[in-house]
Amino acid sequence: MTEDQPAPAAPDATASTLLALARALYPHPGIPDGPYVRAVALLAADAAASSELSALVTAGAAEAAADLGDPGSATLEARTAWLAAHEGEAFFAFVRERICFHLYDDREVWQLLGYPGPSYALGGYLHRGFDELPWLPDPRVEELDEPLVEIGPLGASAAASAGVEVTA
Amino acid sequence: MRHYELDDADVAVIVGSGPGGASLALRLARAGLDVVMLESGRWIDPEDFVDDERIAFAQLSWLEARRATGGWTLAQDFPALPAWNGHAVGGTALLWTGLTPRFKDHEFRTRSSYGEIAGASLADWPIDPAELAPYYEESERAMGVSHRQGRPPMPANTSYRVFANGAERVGYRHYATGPYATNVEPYDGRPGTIQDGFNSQGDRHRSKWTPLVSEIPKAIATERFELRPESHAVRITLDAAGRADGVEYLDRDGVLRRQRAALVAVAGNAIETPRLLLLSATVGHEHGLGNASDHLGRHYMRHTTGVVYGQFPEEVHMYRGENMAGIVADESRHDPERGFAGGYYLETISQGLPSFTTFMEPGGWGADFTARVEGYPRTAASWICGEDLPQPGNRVTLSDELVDRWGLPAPEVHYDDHPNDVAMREHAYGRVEAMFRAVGAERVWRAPAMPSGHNLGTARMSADPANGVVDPEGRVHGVPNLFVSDGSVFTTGAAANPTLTIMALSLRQGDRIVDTRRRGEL
Ligand SMILES: Cc1cc2nc3c(=O)[nH]c(=O)nc-3n(C[C@H](O)[C@H](O)[C@H](O)COP(=O)(O)OP(=O)(O)OC[C@H]3O[C@@H](n4cnc5c(N)ncnc54)[C@H](O)[C@@H]3O)c2cc1C
Repeated sequence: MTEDQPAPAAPDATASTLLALARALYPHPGIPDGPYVRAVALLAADAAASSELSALVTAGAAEAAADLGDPGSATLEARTAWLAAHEGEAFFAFVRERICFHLYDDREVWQLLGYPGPSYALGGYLHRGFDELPWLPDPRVEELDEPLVEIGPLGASAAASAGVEVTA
Repeated sequence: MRHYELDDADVAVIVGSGPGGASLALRLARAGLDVVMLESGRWIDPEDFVDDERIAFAQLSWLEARRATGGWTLAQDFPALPAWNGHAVGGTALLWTGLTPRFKDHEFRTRSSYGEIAGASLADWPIDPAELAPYYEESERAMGVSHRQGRPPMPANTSYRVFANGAERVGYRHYATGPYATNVEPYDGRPGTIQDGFNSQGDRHRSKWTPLVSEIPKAIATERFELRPESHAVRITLDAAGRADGVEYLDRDGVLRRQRAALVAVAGNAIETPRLLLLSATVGHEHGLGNASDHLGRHYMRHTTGVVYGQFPEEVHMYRGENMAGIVADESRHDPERGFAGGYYLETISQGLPSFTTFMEPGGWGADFTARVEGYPRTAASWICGEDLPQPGNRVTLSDELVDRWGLPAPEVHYDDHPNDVAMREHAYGRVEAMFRAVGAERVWRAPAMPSGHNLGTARMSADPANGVVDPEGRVHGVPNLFVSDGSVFTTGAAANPTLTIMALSLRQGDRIVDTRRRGEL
């Protein structure tokens, strides 16, 4: 960019508004700002692919900023209420989908939420607990050596238990 | 690999390298026919598969323009992705998980078994199930299906432990970890699974059966087979006598070529197959090949489906191990006392965090959503797979507006649930909730369909040309050397996951083609 070109209209303001909205869309108190900031940056890159989308995002963020005052210091309740009021609009739909997509594809988020990701290099889970579930008995894995009812109600024993109310 | 000239008029041309096309190709090549396979997608070596849901989705999926319309939830949730199909050598099997139940006999005769149901275009299949039995057996051997033909059962992973205990406690008896088309131990030159949990990402380890690691290399080894990847078929041509004599396709550089053919088989899956037949409309077949009776593209089925999630006080780690190695068959029966015709299977399903957050409540957000995301390690899930009823209005058509990257009209897929589908789904949701509650779920919730992995019925099989698109051998009514070799031919869909039946039908069709050709009639 050269000196005579105008600076893009307050990109930081848009980004900080989107950050505040992202934290209200998918509020995880235990997740720091880093992954949300990255998700917003990826959203901005997606929007940059089309001038219509960029305009949609800039205008939506400006509207949110105007309604919420300083979105960064607006309460979670206020931001959530603003989002709820705009659900169904194109800005909401785009931002929600992109934030959901990018936030939950972030390695730091995976780690914080307990998803380890690829396992192949570690030998899968064959020797690392694919079958480890200590809180329930070992179930049968073979098929039952008994014909399946193909037409009509279940056999008497199964029907008796299948119908009953089960309490947790 | 063998190479055939474009003007070699004595080859069998097969469109599509998924289970349907690849099984047929191997059958024909081994019987001494010369086969050229056109596959729109790339060749991807298993070593290049990526254990990452997002990267693999982009690498393997059919992402051309499509549109979902109608009352089904997909039109709302994923309007540009009515179906999840593969777009590479091996087809959608690169994405599949591998449960392989057979049809039940009465599911080949639904019109007779269920009676007339308003709004549904039920019909009996024009084939005898007994005749398919040996082909089922052969297909199970070809895929190395667990629990069958001497193959050992799959061991229980964490998801299955939750699912099977829940099934047992609500009184179900027919639960098991398969039949499941992934090697438990080495078989057919491929290793046993390491339970890495990335079935739908192609499976780097090659334990999962796909044509890419089985039929295709075997067909290449016959020296009677040429695979042409990145070759997108755009039109089937007919000669003056009305017989198929070639296939036009766009090669990787976008150059239009034409392979001459002695016979043509289309196995592009139930959205692309009717599209190609519609695009091939010509003099005498103004509405598309095989469409004289206006059934082409209609009766589209995708199984009555949905997912139930359960969250437990203790950890499950659903991402560990085979993604769908668990099935309950008790509800797969036809039992009108439940308030609907036909049956359904319940199957385990595991998802990584990206898929989980995409599908567990499409469009969801807010604190209640994130509370469930935080429970991910304590979550198990079950996928419903039930028979949906064929309806003439559920159909694949050519779009007036959308075009794909080749400039061709994109497919639109219209689907409305039949009341029977809704009643079945409600029943199934309730049963999974009961199963999960029975093993201590603190929270259960229902999610709608994911983009359809099972796509069926759009070139239905009928004895009478007035009632369908293909005859009992899968031969297009009115074009004696043109065949359909995928789930498009399903007259009705049954409760079973479809791929074993697709393969069995292809092998049977292959034998018929070989016989007919030996008699000099092809
Ligand atoms: C996530 C997932 C899980 C699944 N799990 C199971 C399961 O557990 N059990 C089961 O039975 N089924 C399962 N399925 C379904 C299974 O994958 C399909 O039934 C099976 O792959 C269909 O085989 P096919 O050969 O008919 O079509 P496909 O496998 O879809 O192959 C069609 C091929 O044709 C190519 N093609 C299309 N149009 C053209 C053209 N014009 N020119 C050239 N090439 C073309 C495509 O690129 C593709 O490679 C699953 C599917 C998904 C998505």
